[in-house]
Amino acid sequence: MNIFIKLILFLGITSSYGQTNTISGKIKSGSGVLPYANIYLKKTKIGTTSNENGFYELRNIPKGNYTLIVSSIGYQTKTIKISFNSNQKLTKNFSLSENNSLDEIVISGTLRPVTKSNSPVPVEVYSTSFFKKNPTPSIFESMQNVNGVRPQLNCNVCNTGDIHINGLEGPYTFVLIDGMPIVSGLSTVYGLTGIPQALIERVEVVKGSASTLYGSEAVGGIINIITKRPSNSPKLTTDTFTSSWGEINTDVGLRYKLSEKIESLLGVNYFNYQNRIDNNEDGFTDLTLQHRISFFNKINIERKNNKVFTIAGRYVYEDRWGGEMDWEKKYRGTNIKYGESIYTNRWETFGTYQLPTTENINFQFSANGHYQDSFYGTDKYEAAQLIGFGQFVYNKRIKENHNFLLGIAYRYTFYDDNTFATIDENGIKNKPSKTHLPGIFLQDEINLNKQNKLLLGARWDYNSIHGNIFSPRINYKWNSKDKSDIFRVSIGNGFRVANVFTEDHAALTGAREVEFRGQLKPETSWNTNINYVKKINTENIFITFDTSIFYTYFNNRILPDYESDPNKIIYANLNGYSISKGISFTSDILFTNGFTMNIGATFMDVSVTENNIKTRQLLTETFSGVWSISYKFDTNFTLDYTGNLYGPMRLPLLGVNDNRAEFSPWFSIQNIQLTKKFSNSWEVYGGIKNLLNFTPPANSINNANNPFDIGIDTVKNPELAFDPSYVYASNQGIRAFAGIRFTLF
Amino acid sequence: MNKIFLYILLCGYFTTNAQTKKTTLKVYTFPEIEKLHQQNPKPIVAFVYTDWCKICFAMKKTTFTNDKIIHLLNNQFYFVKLNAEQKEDIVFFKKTFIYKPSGNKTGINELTKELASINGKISYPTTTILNSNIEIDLQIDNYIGSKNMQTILMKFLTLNEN
Repeated sequence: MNIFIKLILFLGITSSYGQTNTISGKIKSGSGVLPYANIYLKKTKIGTTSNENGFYELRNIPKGNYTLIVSSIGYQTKTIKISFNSNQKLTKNFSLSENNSLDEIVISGTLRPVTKSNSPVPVEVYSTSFFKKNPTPSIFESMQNVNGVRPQLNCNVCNTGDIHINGLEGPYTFVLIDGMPIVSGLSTVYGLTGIPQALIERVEVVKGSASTLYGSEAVGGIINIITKRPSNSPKLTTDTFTSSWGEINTDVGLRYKLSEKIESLLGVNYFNYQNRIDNNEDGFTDLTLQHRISFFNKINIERKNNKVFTIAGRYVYEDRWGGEMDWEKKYRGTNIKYGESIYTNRWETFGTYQLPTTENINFQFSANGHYQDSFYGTDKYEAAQLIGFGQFVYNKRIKENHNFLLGIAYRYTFYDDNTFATIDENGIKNKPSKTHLPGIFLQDEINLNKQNKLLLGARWDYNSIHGNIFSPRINYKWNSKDKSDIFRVSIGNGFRVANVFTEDHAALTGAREVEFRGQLKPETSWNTNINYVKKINTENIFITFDTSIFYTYFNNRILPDYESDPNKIIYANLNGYSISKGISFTSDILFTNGFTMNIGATFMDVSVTENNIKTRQLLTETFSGVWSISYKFDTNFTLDYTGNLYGPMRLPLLGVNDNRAEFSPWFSIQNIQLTKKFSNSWEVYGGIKNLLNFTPPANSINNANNPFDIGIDTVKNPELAFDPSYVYASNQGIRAFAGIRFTLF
Repeated sequence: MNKIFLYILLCGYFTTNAQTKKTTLKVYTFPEIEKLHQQNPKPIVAFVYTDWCKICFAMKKTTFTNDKIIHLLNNQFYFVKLNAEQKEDIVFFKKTFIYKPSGNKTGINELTKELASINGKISYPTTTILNSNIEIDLQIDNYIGSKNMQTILMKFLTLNEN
């Protein structure tokens, strides 16, 4: 070592004449510049690092022969021989290629598809990269890739749907944006469509008993869409794709600053499908024609003392119609041609304001208005819903191990429509329904010790129509010392007021008449979940196994009864009970060579027991499986293979003479996608959806050629009636899609 | 030459230590590092993670339990872990970093932004190496296996030798 230093010193002294040589240039890598690269002359003390623009300059180099070395961690080192006479100014640019030993794989936690949070409540976290494996126009459709969750189409003509979690229908699922409830009712479907996916950071899914924070309605579960923070999102994101059916979906996300202290995030989603396709030749459009635009804007205001203030707004407009192939707008509401046409206008605003107090108190608020103007054939359905919501949440940590949460909440719901659901007792005057729902809740998260956590919660609400609602909840979590094994148990109850028209589009579609028997009572239920997570991590493979057992007992349930009378849909209190139970397995396997697998299966038994007769719930599968398998060839190519498999579901038939199958077949929808990343900014993807070309039978819409039941006595021959409610899968067969993403940081 | 020398030195170090019992990784806190740094400046390896990040968990279980990595980190660096969403203040070189909430139950500590943001974007896990002047020399927002980690750490040391 010493010899070297002496040698360098010696060389330095002997050549200290005319030290005027200079070399400068730019260091690049790929398409960008490379800052902080090391540039030095071997065996000398002359060296520098490139600046932010990749520029470097070495000055005062004595004449002689040198070895110039350019290196940067993560890049292959470049070495060149160089010689200087005197007073030379050289310009040399270098381009470093990435070092393969470091970039074999790009795996990042935030980009990781599925994770489970640390909380006693089992929250599954799905990042946008999970949904990008099978791009869809809305989060509603994307949910098909989540184990135990099934987006269900309710109507063959208008293609509206709801989310089933573990066999429970949409109204049991609570949809939140950034933790703010976009309360159920008319909005259940629209909560998940029209959210620009460019703005979504992650989606959290809770199956079964949820936290006391969200009220007692969420028996089925919670879907919480977390949008990006302005401070942590790219300047511009665009994502556009189209399919061989002619669907066009565009997402744009834009970050901008209103002032030094106000950061903002704007998202726009546009979806358009205007192709009349009738591959099954039933005379009806296979896929509902849609035109949808939504705007979402979120503002983060920086305040003194680090207090929170965020406010967001969203507007969605949608025009959709499905029906006979030659339907035109002028036939809307007439009996010339059958069509179901829905115009939706929806606005919402929500936010959080932390009070300027020393104690941690948050005021959370949301308000939304939803207007639907629709015709189902000749049946008009026009509805308006207004919801206001506000709550104060006080958060206090007491000692090290108690985390208290105390809240008061108030919710106001206004609902009005043109049906008899909002008619006064005498059946003459329109009487919109107005519900006040004040509530109070308390939660204590107790860290018993490093391995045991307990979450106790209680909530009391007063419903202005149905009275007191008390819902206690308990969650317990145990983890092994190294946190590789986690065990969770939760028990809680649920309470829900069924709102048939707003929740169940089936009630409006087709020729069936809707009937209410008796005064519908609230549904009450008890729910328990047991969850076990096992993590195995080695140098080459990370595995997470997740098993859940769920059980929900309803002592009342308002379910559509299609079977007692084929001409009617009857809603009545349940003279018995209903049980949803099952077990689900999910395994997430990640090889460090770039191969990932997420496979899940759910077995469930959802039944209704009425007058001691047990029947299986309609449109509910006993088995469902999902998978997402991806391989990253190098940093540029990714192959995704996604799919699902559903067991038979019992379907609603029109009496005993209906010749359609009572059960759906086993079926599987499979998709394949190839993505190529060109740079950090550009990404192109494409693939094939529904590889197996599965479509439901052509006679799914009963008597499609006579939608107004002309000349048919539907009382005598119910099996001849027009009926679009027999639906379990989309009519869209095999199709290609391609898209492009651009991101500007 | 220096590079080779260091490699030999370190390799020798590993082989002689191969027989000794498992040593544990020394994890310092930021204030501890500040103190130690004044007496004995060394580069700092900061591992930025979150509770919910699976890859972070995997790295803790694999890379940071690897004997070679532990030896390297214990001897040549100060190693520190940062929970990106930590609510408690962190004092580091006379500056106090506080938790910045961004909404209901979301937010990050300011120090996370300092250490882990790359082009204004933060992802987890991020491994950041600060040189002995407490300047960020390297940020990797990736899973790093023990082999790669070893390469990175060694390369860092050799480059800093020059």
